[in-house]
This record gives sequence, C-alpha cells and structure tokens, in this order.
Amino acid sequence: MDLYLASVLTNMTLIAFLALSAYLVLVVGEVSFGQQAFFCIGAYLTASVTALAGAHIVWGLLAAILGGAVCALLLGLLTLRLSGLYFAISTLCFAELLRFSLLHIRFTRLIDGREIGPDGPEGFSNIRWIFEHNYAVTDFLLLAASCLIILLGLLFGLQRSHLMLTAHMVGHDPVLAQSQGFSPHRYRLGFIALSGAVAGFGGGLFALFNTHIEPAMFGVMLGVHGLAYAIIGGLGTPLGPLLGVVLDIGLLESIRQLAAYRMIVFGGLVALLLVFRPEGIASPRLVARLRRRWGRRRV
Amino acid sequence: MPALGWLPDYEDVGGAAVFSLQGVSKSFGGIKVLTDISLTLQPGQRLGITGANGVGKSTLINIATGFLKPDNGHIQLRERILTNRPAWAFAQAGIRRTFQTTRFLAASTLGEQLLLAARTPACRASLASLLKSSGLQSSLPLFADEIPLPMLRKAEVIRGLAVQPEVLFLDEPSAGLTANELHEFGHFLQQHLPQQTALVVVEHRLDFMTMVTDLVVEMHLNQGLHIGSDGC
Repeated sequence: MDLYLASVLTNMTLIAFLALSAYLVLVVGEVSFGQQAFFCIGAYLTASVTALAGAHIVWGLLAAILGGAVCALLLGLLTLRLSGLYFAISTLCFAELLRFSLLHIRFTRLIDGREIGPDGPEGFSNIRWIFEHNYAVTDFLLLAASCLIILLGLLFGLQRSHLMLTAHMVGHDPVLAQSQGFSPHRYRLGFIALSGAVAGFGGGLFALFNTHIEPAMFGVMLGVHGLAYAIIGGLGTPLGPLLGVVLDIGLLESIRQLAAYRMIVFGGLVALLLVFRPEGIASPRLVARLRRRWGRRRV
Repeated sequence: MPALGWLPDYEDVGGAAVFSLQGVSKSFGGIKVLTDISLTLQPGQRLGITGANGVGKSTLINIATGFLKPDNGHIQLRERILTNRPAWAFAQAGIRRTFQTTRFLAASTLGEQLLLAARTPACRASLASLLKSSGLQSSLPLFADEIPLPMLRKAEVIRGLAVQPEVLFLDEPSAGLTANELHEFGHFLQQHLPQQTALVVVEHRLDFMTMVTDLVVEMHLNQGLHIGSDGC
C-alpha cells in the first residue's frame, strides 16, 4: 500500500476515535468542546507506559483507556450539574487547563542515550515502540482499524439496546426519561466516562503512530473538529461520525489540490448542513425510517 | 385531619394511604402559586382536580411527580419519603404521569418506546395484555408523528400503566381531543386502570371527570386545599 495513503487512512482512523467520543457525549444531549483533553491524556499515558516504563503497548493502551475514563468521570462529576452551554464551556476550560499544565510538566529520563519523557512545550519525543517492534505503517493501520471496527461493532450491537435507546431518550427528552424512572445524570456520567475511554484509546494510538507528541497538538481545534464530524455525520448511527471524518480528512485534507481550501470548504459544508440537515446527514429520524424500510425492526 | 400546613402530621395518614402530600407551598419569584396544599390518596382512588387557568394545577402535578421541588411540605409514597428526591426516583417508586402535550421520541417506533418503559418480565406481560385489549398493536411499528393523537394519548397511559404504578397522574388529557375521542378515552381508562392504582386527573372537562373520577375538587388561587383521609 502506498505509504501516503496508509498514513492518511491511519490518521482518519485515529481521529475517528475522537469523533466517536464526541458522538457518545452528543447522544446523551451534551456538547463537549474538550474531548481533545482525553485524547491528550491517553496519548501521554501510552507514551509514558511504553517509552518511559518500557511496557507492552497493551498496557499503554489500557492505561490510556482507564486514564481517559477516570478523568472524564471526574470532570463529569464536577461539571455535569451544569448543562448545555455551561457544560460545554467547562469542558473547553478543562482541556485548555490540561494543555497549559503540560507546558510545565517536565519529567525526562535518559534511556539508551535518549532523553525520554514529557518535556514541557517540547513535548514527548522518541515514543519508539512501533519502530522497536518492527511495525510497518500498514501493520499499525491494520491494528488501529481493527480496534475501530471492534468498537463500531460493539456500538452497532448496542444500537437498539435498552441502554442506547435510553441514552438517546436522555439526550432528546430528559423530562420524558425522568418520568419513566431513568436518571439523566447517571446516563450522562456513564456516557461521558465512556467517551473519555474512547478518546483516550485513540490518543494512545495517536502517540504510538506519531512517535512525538506535544501540548500544541491537542488544541481547541482538534476537539472542535472531532465534534464537527459527529454533528455533520448525525447521531442516527455510530457510522455518522465516521462519515464526517471521511468527508473532511478523507476528501479535503488528503486531496492535495483541495488542502489549501480545506477550512473554507469544510466551514461552508458545516454551515450548509446546519441549514439543510440540522440533525446531521445520518440523523436518527432518517436512520430509523431506513431501518424500518429494510425490515430490520425489532418489535 | 386538621388543616395544618405548617405541621405535617403525615404519620397518622400513613396507614392505608398510598400517596400523601402535606402542607405543600410553592412560589415562583415573588408570585405565590400554591399555599398549603395537602392531598392524600387511597389505593384505587379516582380524583379529579379542576380550576381556572393559573391556579397552579400543573404546578401541583409537577410537584407531586417530582419535576418541581416544593418550597416546603412533605411528599411520601407509602413509607417512602420522596420530598427532596429527583423526578426519576418518584417514577421508580411508582408515580407515573402523562403530559399535556404527548411526549414521544421522534426516532423510535412506538413499540420500541413502550418496551423501553417495561423492562421486567412482569411489566412486559402487563404491557402485552394492555396492548391486546386496547387495539394499539397495529400502531407499534409506527413513529409518533404517524399516529393520531387519540392513539398517542392511550399509548401514553399504557406506557405509564405497564409498570403497574401506585399512582397515575394525567395532565389535561382532553387537550386536542374532540368530544367523541375524549369519551372513548374515558372508556379506555375505565377499562384498563387497575383497581389498586390511584388516579389523579387535572382537567377542565367536567363530563370527562364525572366519567373517570369519584370526586372532583376545584382549586382556587392561594386558598389551600385539603383532600384526604377525612373524606373532605
């Protein structure tokens, strides 16, 4: 496989995790501008566990999942009583707080003649696990893509489950959910923790693939893009966020002639979609009606 | 029972009563909406509440179902004190309600949404029997915007009754129904309401109230209301 194509595909896969994490928050009716924080936490944790502690990536990625989930849960516990705009602002603040804190965190060790560890604004270099273990770009793509497919499979399996339907109910009409005995707060907390885990995992893979990470990579725009992909794609299916990723990174960023106009086209696309399909391309309504037409209902 | 809003003597109504709300008052900003409301329901009691617009009927329902917190007062269901609990805890305890405008999700079929409400096998069995006798089965694969309002009103009641609640509150079920449809809805209620379930209907239509309730009380602005064990 062409190296360029492979790296674009890997990039799309990694960002897809971020978009899916934004999707999980949107499902329960909240908007987060801070998913890049969990992505960042996952990246730094995986880097630390694999490069600093020299452990296998399985442990690195597990740490990323756990770290992302725990941080998201804590943030949720602190801020979820706020809702709507205020929750969105607090997630943004958290992400920026984390990014600026990382500028001041220095913890490097000399391993095999290389300075390894987070070094403030210089970031964390020499995350060499995939080199040391002779992973080619295509191998890594395969690994990341299989993880994404497994996650999508899980989300698809759960799509018509009580859990997911209730989460959608909490998102669309929390009053209705409460009147049936479901606590919107608990569902939101659970899904935000889950979104932290997904973003953390994506961040872990991102660190391994990039071999170098620095705080500047996890700025607001990263989170905004992740969120935009989920909104463009729509909440009807877990494939929605993927659709957003394919549209933006797949079409605009990768076709080099278009790359210069990417933000113009992408911004315009978002504006058009908000006018014509405010619920996203694969909106819940559309997906539900398609499902009925194809006879895959479950009642 | 003495009308002592400031001294909730819920202890002595606890015995047979299923639901009691004692000495409740509520103001929004400086505007007093409810003062000293007490309401005690026996199992299977059918109560109608009527009154002019703005006397706080909907506020009362919202407080009794946990969607609004009273400024003071005490709410309990059997022995469970619910006063400061969130609305979902009221629903879990067995207090269900319907809304003035029916609430259904746009992207799930009616069947899915009813199943969502009935999670235990017992609830699912009672849902199945309710559906069978109500003629709603053909609407199950449809979305809410494809189902006529009278059917949706029934579906909302079924959604509430599937869990065999202790108390069911109906908030203006007549809204949007013609006289015939309302009459049919009344029949439907008479047939399907379990004997033990207490019913509270907030409504303007007295013909409907006389059909489904044993007692109708009228609320007046800030005059207090005491309905309960002394048979008022």
